[in-house]
Amino acid sequence: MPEVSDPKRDQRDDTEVFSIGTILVKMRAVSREEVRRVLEEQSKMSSDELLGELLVRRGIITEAQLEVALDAQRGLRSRKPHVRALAAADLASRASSGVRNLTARVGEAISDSRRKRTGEAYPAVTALLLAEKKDA
Amino acid sequence: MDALFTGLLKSGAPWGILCAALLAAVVALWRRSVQLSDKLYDLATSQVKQSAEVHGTLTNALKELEELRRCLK
Repeated sequence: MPEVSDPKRDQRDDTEVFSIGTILVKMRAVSREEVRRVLEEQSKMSSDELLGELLVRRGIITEAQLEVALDAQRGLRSRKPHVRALAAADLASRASSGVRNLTARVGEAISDSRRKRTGEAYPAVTALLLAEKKDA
Repeated sequence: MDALFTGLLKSGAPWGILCAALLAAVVALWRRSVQLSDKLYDLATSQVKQSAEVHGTLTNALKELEELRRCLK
């Protein structure tokens, strides 16, 4: 197959490099803060241990998560457009799933606050309070 | 590629013209697939960026809710 080269894209790909830390953050496997902390530790260390390996050794991520991130990195850095596109789509799907989970947590927190505010969370106490109010 | 295409056409033979037409179709399809892959890549990366922004906003909202809950206790 002929190589269709887009100079604009090639130039952009040279600058847009996905580091393993960035990918892991986008996968919601780690927080930016955790990556920053481990990077600081890495710079102080004398060994050549890589960021991903350190994150696994610290128990912040699992080896399986690191494998997924490394696969995504290989895909995103690929010269083949369809491989790059599929890797980006996979990462987008993981990022969206993280947002969906967080949305559910926010929803739960809001309903919990509402239940506590209206007394729904403590039906027995609320009934007593209402009875006391009636008597008074 | 262009030389092969021109050569096939110039041969004048029916199989040459057929091969040239097939070659042109394959190249057009390949170019289209590259364009679509690039488009998908752009859409996906923009989705990743948007998700990161929404995630940040939701994380802040969650923190504020926790704070509010502590104040209400």
